[in-house]
Amino acid sequence: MAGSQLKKLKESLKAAGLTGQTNVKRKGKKNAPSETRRDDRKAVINAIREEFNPFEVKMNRNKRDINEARKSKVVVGRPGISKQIGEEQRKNAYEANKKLKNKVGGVVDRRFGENNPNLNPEDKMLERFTRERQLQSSKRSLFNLEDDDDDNNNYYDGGDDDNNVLTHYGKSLSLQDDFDQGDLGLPEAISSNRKRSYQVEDEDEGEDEVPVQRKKTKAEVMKEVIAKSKFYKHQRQLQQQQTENEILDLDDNFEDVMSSLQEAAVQNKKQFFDKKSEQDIAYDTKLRELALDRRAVPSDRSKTDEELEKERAEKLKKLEQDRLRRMEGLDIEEQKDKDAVGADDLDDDFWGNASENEEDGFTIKESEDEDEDEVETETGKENSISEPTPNVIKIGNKIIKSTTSLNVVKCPETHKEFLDLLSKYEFCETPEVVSKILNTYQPRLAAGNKEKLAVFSSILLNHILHLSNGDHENKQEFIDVEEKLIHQLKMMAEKYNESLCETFRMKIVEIQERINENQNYPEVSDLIFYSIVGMLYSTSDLYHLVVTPTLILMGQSLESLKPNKNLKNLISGLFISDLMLKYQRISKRYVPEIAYFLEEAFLTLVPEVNKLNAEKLSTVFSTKHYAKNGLNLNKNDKITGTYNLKISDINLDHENLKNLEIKSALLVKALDILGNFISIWKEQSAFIEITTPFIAVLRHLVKYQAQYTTIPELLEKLVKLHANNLHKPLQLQDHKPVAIATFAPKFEENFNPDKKSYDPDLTRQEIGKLKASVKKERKLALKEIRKDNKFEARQQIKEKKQEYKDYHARMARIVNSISTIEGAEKNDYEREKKLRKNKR
Amino acid sequence: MVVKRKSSSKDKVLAKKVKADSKFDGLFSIEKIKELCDELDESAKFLNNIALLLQQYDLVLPQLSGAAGKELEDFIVLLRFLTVSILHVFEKLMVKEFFVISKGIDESKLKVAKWLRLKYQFFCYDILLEFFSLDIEEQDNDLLNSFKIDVLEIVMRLIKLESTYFAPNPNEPYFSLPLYKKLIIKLLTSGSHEGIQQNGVNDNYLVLEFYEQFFQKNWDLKFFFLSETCNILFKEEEEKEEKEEKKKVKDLQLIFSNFLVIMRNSIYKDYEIDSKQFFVTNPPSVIFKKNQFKINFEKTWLNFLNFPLTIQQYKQTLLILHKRIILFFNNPTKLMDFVTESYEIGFSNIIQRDEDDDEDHEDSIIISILALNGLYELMKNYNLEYPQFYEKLYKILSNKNLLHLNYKSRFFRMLDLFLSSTHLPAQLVASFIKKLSKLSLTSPPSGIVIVIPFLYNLLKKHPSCMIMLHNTNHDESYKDPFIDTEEDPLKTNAIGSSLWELQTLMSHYHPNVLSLAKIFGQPFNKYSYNLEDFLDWSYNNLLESELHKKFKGDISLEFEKFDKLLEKGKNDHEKSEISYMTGWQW
Repeated sequence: MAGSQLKKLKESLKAAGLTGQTNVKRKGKKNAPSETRRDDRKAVINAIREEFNPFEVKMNRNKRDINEARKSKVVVGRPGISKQIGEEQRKNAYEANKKLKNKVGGVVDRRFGENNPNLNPEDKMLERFTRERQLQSSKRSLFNLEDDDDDNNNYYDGGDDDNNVLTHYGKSLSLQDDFDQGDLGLPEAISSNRKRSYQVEDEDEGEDEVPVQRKKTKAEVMKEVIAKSKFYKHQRQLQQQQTENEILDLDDNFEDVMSSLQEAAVQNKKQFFDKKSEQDIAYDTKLRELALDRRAVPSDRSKTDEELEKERAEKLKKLEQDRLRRMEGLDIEEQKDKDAVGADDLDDDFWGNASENEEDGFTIKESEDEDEDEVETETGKENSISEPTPNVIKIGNKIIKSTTSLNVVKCPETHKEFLDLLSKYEFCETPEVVSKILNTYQPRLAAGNKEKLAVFSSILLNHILHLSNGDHENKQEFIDVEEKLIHQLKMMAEKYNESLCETFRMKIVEIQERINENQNYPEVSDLIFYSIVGMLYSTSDLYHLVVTPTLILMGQSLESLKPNKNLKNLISGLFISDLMLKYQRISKRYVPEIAYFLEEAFLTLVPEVNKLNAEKLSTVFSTKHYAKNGLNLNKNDKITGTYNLKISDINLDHENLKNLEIKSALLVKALDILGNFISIWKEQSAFIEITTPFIAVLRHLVKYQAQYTTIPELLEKLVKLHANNLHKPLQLQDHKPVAIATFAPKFEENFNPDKKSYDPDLTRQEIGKLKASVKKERKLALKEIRKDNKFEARQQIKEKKQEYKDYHARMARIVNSISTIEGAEKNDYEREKKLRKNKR
Repeated sequence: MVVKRKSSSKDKVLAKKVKADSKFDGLFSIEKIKELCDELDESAKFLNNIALLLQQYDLVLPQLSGAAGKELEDFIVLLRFLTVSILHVFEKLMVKEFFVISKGIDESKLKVAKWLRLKYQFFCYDILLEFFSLDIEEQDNDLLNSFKIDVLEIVMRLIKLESTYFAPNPNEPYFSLPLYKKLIIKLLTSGSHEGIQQNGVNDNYLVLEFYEQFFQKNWDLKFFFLSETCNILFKEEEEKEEKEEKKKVKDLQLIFSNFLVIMRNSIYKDYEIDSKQFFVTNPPSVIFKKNQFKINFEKTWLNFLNFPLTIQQYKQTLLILHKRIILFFNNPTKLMDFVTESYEIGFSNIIQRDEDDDEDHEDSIIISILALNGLYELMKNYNLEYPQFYEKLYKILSNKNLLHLNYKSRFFRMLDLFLSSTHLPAQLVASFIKKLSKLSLTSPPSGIVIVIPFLYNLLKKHPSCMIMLHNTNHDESYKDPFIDTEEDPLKTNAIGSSLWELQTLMSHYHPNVLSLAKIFGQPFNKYSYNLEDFLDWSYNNLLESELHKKFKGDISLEFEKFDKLLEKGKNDHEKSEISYMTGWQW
């Protein structure tokens, strides 16, 4: 729009039709009444005035925005007007507040159940209704305003009754009269509740007066509902009452019925007894026995061999899977995961965990126990055919009773007690004594037996080791007893795992002390101990409470036993190497000590060790001090495979070194171990490095002992393996490359500065929005409150001023009036005085 | 009173013996000795009593060797009393200035003083010091030993007295060197070969007593000990020249073992001489000369190092060399020859002295390892240039027992130091890495546990060696290029090889070693391992930590069934019973 301000004004006035010809009649348009037109005119002029007042409008110009298209969207505000509006609103509120000040206004809602959220509308209505009725009935005697018959009436409705009308000066006091006079309209501000009730009143009246069918109002519907529900309730109550009554009746009659019945039964019985004969009685007992006999359950049927086989295979498979898991160390990780669960976590296994924490917390579940028992008896049956193994509880028991006179045995609590007990029996009866104890103290027989047997299991272990150290005349008998005891120990280990484990660990500490003091080591019992550990426990586990310490101990033994020192070291070292390989037969973990010891053992045994090329060896620089120990074979000795190595050979004198048989047996054993060694570790990537020294040894050995076929065979195998096992360079660091954190800013296409956030995370974006709005709201609210306060203060000051002003004005008026009167009186006085003077 | 009665009863016994054996005629009783001493105290006219008392020794000493049991005890009681009495007599005379020889005293006094001095010297040198070499072949040596210790104390007392009263002029600083010198010689040659312990130190009680009671505390004794020993020992050696070779070697080893007892602890803890205690009241000022002390120290040690040492003594010396010896040398470069020689020992089997050459080679390599410390000290501080240092170092690694030694942690500390430079050629570092990982294949867990973090740190420091762990560039015809027998670490081609050994260790039987070895398969993002944490593991503390572990889980059992633990006999196979350990019988 162009032109000056004045021009614009003129134009707009003209457009509004306020200038120029004013009484142009427009076609087709009715003339509006002049009054209203004048008002319109005012409004239009006001609008124009406002439009042209540049100070009334505030524009929020965006300085940053250079986009032309947006210019139209400039925010325009009219602060003056909005301020005025606010002011007015405040004023209204303030005045309303002021009116209510020091007054308790409004009507208290005392209707029953209005504030009780637990009542549903129906109940609420019902309750109100009853209360109302009660109120009425109590009032009835005095001012009975109600119609007795009419249920639907409420108590405002008193006007219908012609008989009892309250009157005052002959005029009816009925409230409804007031309503008839339309002038007395209730103010708008009255509470809506009340208003509604009046309306109800109105309608009631209408119904009575005009009984024409019409659409029901809400109140009517409500009334109907109330009535119906009341009716139904009443019916229900009636029904209830009825049934209760019936029950009571029955109860009363019960005694009579019973007594008559009993009488009849007694009579019958008497008849029965009279009739019974001997035969019958026998029959009865048989019958009873049959009834009490445990009935065969379908699941207990004897399984076929195939099924048994399958079951066993499945069980083995499961055990194997568990074992593999342990071998990989997965169970430890699981354990860690389990431990990671917080302390508050009350999972199902909480108590299980807690009990594990305790000293002897490994509770064996009963169900498992039973399973084991079953297995035991099963295996027992199988074994019993070949030989009477004592772990079979039932069968073994019978045998004992028939063969020996073992009566009551006390469960020994120490090894000494056990020895005392055994001293009463023959040596060969030891296993039977043990199984007797096991029988007498079966855990299911009495409480506390389990603990006793747990102690006994460790005694048994000690006893086995004790026996193995001793010297026995009857070797065969000793071996039998020892093997049987070990068998029993293995059976017990399943049940008394925890305490046995403790015993094993104590034993480990004891052996270690002996190794450190370097005396009496190794004994036969130590070697037996190691092998029992291997036989009892799963040696392939990554970590095992008993096996891992035992492995360390064996490693230490191999390290400290120098084979070239004496025969004892050599034999026990070979035994331990053999055993350690046996331990690793499944997990195939590498034991450096074996490689070290085996090489030394070979150097100790091979003939003419000086001629061996030391460069290839991994343990020693020079072989010269292996030449002197006297254990080496002679140049012309030939290996004979006739001697069987015994574990007790470690106690042989050094003199036996000259015994070619032992020497060759040792060499054969070493070769045997080497064979095992190769087959277990042929997968190792450093297999070539590990076995290179042995090739040198075997090459040397084959020169002297070519007739012993094992040696060339081993050599050939080893060379072949070396040829096949090509070293591939390692690729251990083949990790997925880790992304480097980028710090370059992300470029946004079509960037919009108004858009508050480009956050890709939706929830975060939402949260941001919410936060922003909360902040904004808060700001606004604070602003409002401040404005309110200011307004109030202003208003108060204004009032005060007004008050003072009024006061001063009033006082002035009073003073004025007084002085006027005074002046008048004075004038009167003066006049009187003059008069009197004149009179005189 | 009781004591007196006791002594008197002994007198009677003695008296009886005297009567019984006519040879004992001249032997005084204790009371007689006391009487003579009392007379001496009273006036100077009884001075001749000294001669009488001294004569007693001539009578007693021959008897000693034949005596035994109770008799010996009596003799020693007598001897002790006699010696102490004479000491008191001389002490009193010294206090009374009977010994003073200076101008301006009259003839008779001078004569007396000279005579007294003669007697005194006879007492000191010919009697007291000879007690140390006194030896009787009896089981109850304790009596004699305690007496010897008493004599040692008496001699020290006399040294103190001499230093006070024998000064040429009164109040002049003086230290009684001649007596001290003799004492040192006696002490060093005392003890027996059997007393030489495993660590090359003698358990000679006299030397120990001397060290603890006197030497340790007093600076002047230390100073003069060093200054005298370096003078004495030449003579000593010359004297021994005549003796047969073997005996001489043994004697020298004995002397060294005694010397080591005195020298094994730091000779002086702080350099401040002023704060030191002194044994004599007025020591000569020469002892405050730090330089003189150092020169003496150096001379003495160099002399001693020329001795034919046992291997144990060698080890012991090398152990203290870098901390307690090099520091006090005036010119530490003089030790170079010794250290380099010792270092070389490991590479050539020089040591043949030890009869039991079972651990011969092991010992020589230990000596090399021990010499490394001293060598490093000299190289670092005194500019020693050692040619082909890394070749030699690499050669130590070719000792196949290295990881089984007790001194391995010491070696690894040094090796860590030598290989810490990032400017070493990758070839060389790779050779060390490969050699160490090869050694770990036969080593106990304690060794492996050192090697793994060590190699990790090395690989971290020399990323170019990472190719030994991760090599993607190879063809089908790849063959391990490493030459195990090559002695030059730059020519072993180790960098083309791979560390299969470490991969094998990832399946070690010990779970902790296994998990430690697995770091080579994980990204190399650890900063580095603190080697000290891994140096001192042994089977014992591995087992201990294992036994302390509480593993929450079932103790898994073996489910495989075995009929027997060991084989029963030959007919076992026929029965087809499975035994756990095959090929072994009860």
